[in-house]
Amino acid sequence: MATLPSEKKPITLDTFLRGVWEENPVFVMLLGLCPALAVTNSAVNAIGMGGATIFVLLGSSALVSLLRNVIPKQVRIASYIVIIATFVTIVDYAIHALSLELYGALGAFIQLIVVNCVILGRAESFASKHRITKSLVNAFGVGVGFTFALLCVGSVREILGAGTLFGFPLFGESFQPWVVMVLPPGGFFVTGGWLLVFAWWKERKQRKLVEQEEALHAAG
Amino acid sequence: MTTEANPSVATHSEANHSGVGAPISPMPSPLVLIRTLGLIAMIAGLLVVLAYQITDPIIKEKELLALEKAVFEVIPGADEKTATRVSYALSSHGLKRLDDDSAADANLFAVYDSSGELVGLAMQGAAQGYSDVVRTLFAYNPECQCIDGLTVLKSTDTPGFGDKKTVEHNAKFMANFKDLSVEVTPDKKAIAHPIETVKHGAKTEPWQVDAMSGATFSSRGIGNGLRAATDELVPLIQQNLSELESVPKTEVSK
Amino acid sequence: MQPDSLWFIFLSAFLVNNFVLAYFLGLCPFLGVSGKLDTAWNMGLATTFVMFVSSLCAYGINLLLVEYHLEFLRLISYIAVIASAVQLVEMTVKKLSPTLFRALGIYLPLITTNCAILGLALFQTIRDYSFFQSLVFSIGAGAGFTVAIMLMAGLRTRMDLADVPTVSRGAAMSFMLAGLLSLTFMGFAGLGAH
Repeated sequence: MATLPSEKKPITLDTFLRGVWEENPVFVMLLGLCPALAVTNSAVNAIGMGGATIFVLLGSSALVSLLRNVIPKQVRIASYIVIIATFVTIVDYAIHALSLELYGALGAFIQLIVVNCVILGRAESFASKHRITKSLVNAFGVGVGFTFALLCVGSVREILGAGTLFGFPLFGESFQPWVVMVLPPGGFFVTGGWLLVFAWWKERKQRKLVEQEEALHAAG
Repeated sequence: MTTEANPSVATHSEANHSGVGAPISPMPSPLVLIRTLGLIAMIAGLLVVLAYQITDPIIKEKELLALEKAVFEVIPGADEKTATRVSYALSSHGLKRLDDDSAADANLFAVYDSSGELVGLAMQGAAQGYSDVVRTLFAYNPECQCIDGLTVLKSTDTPGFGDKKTVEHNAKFMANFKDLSVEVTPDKKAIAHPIETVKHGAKTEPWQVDAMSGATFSSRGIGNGLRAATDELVPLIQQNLSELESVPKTEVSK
Repeated sequence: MQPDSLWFIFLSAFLVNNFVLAYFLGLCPFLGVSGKLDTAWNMGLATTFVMFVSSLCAYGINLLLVEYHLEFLRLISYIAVIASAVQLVEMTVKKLSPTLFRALGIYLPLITTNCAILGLALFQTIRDYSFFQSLVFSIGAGAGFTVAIMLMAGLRTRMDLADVPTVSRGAAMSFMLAGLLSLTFMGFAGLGAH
């Protein structure tokens, strides 16, 4: 497999930012929803899951990128999955050893990171075609974007559903928590709400672009 | 193993299947495939085993500490600084003392004070609550033949109704477990009156648990867990009481 | 420890703790399902079958792993088992009913990355279910998944024709609907408890 032209392009800030905003894995690409919704009933859990996913993204992207010229095309998916599963197993042990509480909260969903389409997508579409430093930067960007999305959902759910943020109470004793927010339906509602926000923001951007073009036309 | 699994790999799968528009590399010999998969398996295995070796002792230690903390918390009169915890596996075959390595198999925990006298016993209970199983750790006092302490280990029931914080803050409900009678029959083979969970406000007997108002299922989960555990273990405890009552002083040095 | 009866495990996986609406597993096919009810039904059927086979194999593999103290290989072996199960189902469907095979088309291989299958295997391991409990669990989960996507498929057509703001079309609306479905299913809590 010869090196492709895209490998010669330099790493830009765009490589990183693209994963965070434009191609945000959750809100734009609608990938990785399962583990995302399940553990975002609090901001701490959201960060925990996001951090674990970043670790797996970095590890697997690095290894896939390093081995990209060695893995034959026919077995690449199988290889990627084994590599991803390895890092997921490692992060599972790591979280268990670091914090029993977080491990109890995230539970089986740590291991479900392995079927998070975001990671396989990164390996297949980016890490297998770029050198390691670039792959790492891109993976980190996507991971940050993923964590950001989880945090958006998790914070809102925690604030509304428990009256706290990161465990710190925000409102007084008389606050009646909107309990449904920390239950499954809340996960759907809040994510739907954020999707709405993103769609609206995108539409506004489109409209602005069109207006700008028209203005240019009218002027020139 | 091919997966046209997600949008970002769609194009490549098409190339795989139709072979149109993409350069097809010749199928490598089986040896190359095996070599690659073998290499990856080796790297993967190495990484996982390494991680396991590093984290396993840490995990075991943390879980043991958490368990010990819960046991000391639930048994009234247990002084963390001077008392010792011993784990046992209790069955119809008898009492077996476990060391820390096999503590995971323990179904009975005993706390002894600095002179080797038994302070209290603790057991786990688990039964279906509202949404899932509720796990508890409770203290049994063989002298009064009653349960005199309870802590919720794990509950996924509705926050504000059956979750750990709400339950443990509910003073009226927790009062159930200060003196819950689990007397055995004279032949020490069974519980005279198994624990019963009754509706809020309907408690008349010392072996009944007065359910939380508005959280009957969670209350039943806790009560039934206690009942199952005591039905099985308390008669055995009473039968093996002399063995449990004290340990040699040398074993309780801290 | 298993305080549940077989019937209770089935009900729980099917309605009370529905895999899609309570555990958020299997969302990709759930959100992407078309408005055709029979496609949804076939998809659900195929998924249930894969769940059933995977559950059996996962139970067997786990016994082996525990026997040889190789628990750290659990995740990798489960994935391998699921991928193989999907291949198996694909081949079986192709042989038994070519029409069905064509109707399902791309959906079959997609089941591999359906978190519901792996989630099923992991849950049954964590809860230490026996052989029969695992079987019943997998059937209940598959049934629950089928019901959920059929409901979504049924709503999908109405949704596309409804008069809603363009901004909310697509994913946002699907999520809101899913939230309402999830809320409805919460009403099943306590079902089967005594």
